[in-house]
Amino acid sequence: MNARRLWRWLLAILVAGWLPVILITWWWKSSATSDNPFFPPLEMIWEQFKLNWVFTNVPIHLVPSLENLFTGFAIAVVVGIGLGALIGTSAGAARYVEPIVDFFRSIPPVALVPVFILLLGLDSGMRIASISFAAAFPILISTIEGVRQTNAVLLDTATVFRLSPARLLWQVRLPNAMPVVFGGLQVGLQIAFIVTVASEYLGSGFGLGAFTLTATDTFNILDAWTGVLLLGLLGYVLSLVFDLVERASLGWYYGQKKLA
Amino acid sequence: MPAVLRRIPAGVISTVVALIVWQIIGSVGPLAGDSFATATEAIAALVEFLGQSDFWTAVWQTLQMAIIGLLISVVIAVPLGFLIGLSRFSYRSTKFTFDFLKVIPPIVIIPIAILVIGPDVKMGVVLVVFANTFSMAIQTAYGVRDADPVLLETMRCYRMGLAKQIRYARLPSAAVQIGIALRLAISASLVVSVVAGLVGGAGGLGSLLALTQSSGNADETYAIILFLGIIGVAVSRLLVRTQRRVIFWSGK
Amino acid sequence: MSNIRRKGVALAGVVGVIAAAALATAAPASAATNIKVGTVAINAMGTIPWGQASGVFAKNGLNVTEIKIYPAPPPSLAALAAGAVDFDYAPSIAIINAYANAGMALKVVAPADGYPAGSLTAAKKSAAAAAKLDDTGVCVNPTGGINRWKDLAGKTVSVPARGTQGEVTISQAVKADGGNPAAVNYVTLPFGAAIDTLKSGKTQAAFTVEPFTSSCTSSGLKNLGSPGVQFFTDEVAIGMWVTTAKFAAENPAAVAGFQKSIAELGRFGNTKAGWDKILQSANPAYTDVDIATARKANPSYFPATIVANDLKGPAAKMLALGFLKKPLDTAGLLLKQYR
Repeated sequence: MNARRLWRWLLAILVAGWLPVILITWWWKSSATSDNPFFPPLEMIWEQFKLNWVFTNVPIHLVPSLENLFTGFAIAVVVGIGLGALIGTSAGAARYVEPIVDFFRSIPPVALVPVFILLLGLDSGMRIASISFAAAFPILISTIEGVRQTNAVLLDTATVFRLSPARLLWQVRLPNAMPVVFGGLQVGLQIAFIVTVASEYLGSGFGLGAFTLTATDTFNILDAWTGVLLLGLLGYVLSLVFDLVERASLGWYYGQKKLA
Repeated sequence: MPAVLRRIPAGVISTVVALIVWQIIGSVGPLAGDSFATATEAIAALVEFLGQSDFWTAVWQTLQMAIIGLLISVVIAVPLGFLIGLSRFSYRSTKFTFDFLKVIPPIVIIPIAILVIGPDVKMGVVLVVFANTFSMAIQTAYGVRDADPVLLETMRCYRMGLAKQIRYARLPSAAVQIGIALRLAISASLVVSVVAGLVGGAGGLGSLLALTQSSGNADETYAIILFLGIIGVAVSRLLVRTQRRVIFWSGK
Repeated sequence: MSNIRRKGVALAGVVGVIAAAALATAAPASAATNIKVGTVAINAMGTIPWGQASGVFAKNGLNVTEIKIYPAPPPSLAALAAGAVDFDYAPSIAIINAYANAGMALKVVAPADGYPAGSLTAAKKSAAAAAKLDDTGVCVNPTGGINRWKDLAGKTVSVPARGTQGEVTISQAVKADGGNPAAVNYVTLPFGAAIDTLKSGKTQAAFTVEPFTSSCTSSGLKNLGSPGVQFFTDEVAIGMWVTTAKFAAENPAAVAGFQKSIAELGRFGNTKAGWDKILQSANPAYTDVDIATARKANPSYFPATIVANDLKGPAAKMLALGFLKKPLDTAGLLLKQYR
């Protein structure tokens, strides 16, 4: 990495970072003398944050939440892409399935949690089921659309080469659908995160959401703030990681777009 | 397929089939019971709801939160985004901060919002504003920056001032992005209002849903979910149609 | 005879006219202060709608414009702090949490419900007496193998909010019986959901307050016992009416009016006929429980006053159980008259 690139990289960080630094400093300073019980000094929140999350409560609360989140999301991905690929191959099937899927997608994902509580109770099985169910829909929809949109030229080429339907699906349609599918995966991950938190708010003993809500119920304001901050941070980290994975997987697509 | 069936739209057929399947699942098999409502039970409960003024009060409360929150978001986000987009420096400076904040789902701040604002309609409005403002601002800014570079170059050649550049190049491109952002924001506002009620006790359909679930009333719970789904589909169809007609120059 | 009778009638008429005139001029004489009251959906809260409907509040210069129901006391206290309600019902433990952990400036203005003085000592000795006294309970499945408090260790118990009355009193009961309170898995569920979820086996026990304690036994489930009787020793007022210190300072007349109303409603509620009216006001309108089940409940007892021990006692016990990290001086919570 030569000096010029390093310098540009540094400049980018400075440009992006000066605003948040100022905002946090302003928060720190103005809350230092705060006597509002619900807006404690940022310094105290930070101290409590370190106490709680470095690393005492991580195994008790953070790990269960993450486990449920990733398990639920994984199931949603497998079901969403699997079903979506099959349905998208047949235009007829897609036409029939789409209105139903559209309907489910329009229900606020968090609203599904009460349904799952009624059916499955309060354990992690319920949480994983609600997360998978809610997150599967955007993935399903985008996979169907991506598979259906396969370029006509590619399809003709595949016919010329007499590809079997399975190979057609696996080697032509799916890779071609990936950019659209990733859009659905991104929404799916966001929904998975939201439903994870919601399922913990609505009746649970452990998990990041449960921790935060318990703190609120017992008026442990500092704990509640640390929970909220950690949740916000987690949301951002998830989207960041997703962006990196997407860029790595779709490098070829972006390259093509640049050429066009 | 018989000719008669072929003339009925696919959506209608699949809806009917789905309802039948739902009814069967709810009547026989492991899911049948008090914690699951069959299609007929849910629809009957919904029809009953539609005749109750309490239900419509709840609907109105949710709509209030969504609409007021949306208006406040637009008033804040669009001018802010516009100003940010005009300068490359301000765009780059704020992008990281706003990207960070827009990714935080409003449900995350509910515990603090309950403590600071209290579990009522005001909190719902604040939540909607939080949900919409950052993404709308960034999207507006992006729209301002996304103006056709050739057009801008031409304008500069003809020495057209900033005002003209804004009006004929940046405003149309911004309008497209604002339209897209608005479409997302309208759906999001409804969803966030329901979430504020369900988890934060802010009132409206969300709180009603929490109540029916906590009293174990499966019929009413499913009825509300059904209602939410129908409304959601109706709103998104309406939005797509409106966008196509209002922002006809975008071709999207 | 007829002469005396005529004079008697005339006298009655004059008195009647004077009384009517007095009432007519008294009622709209001073504009009533509008207040909003927050509470949870339990039997005892029926005093408020009854007080408004029967004019008790109006007599004391108050007009209850809104009764807001919250799923549990902590959000109702948050609503109080945010100004969404003026007076709020909260059990002593929740008040202590808010005061100790968040430094909320609350003032206890009146007792809401509790135990008659001395009744706890008798109840502690006999399970039958306890069952007749308290309105709290822990509902369990008769076939679930939970027969005593320490059996709750390792099981899932639902409470309407973490860290407040349900959790604290049950933890005390478990500890006193030789079990490990830290091994109890508490989950948050509103009262209504608690019984259904218990029936379906997803939880093993549920903290209940009337009318849900009766709902429990009418559904064929078992009431393990009264955690309240286990926890409290000589406290009288358990549930209390609170307001913010700011409201109390700025509206002394409204506070006084509220106190008088609650005192009168309490005396009324302690009578048999009065209690039935209170029940009818609360059920099913606010609790969603049918009135027949609610009538099986132990009547709530409405104490006449609050003593300092009503807060000092629970605070000390919470410290001993580890719910409070350091000793708490509860004097600041009480209005001067109760200190």
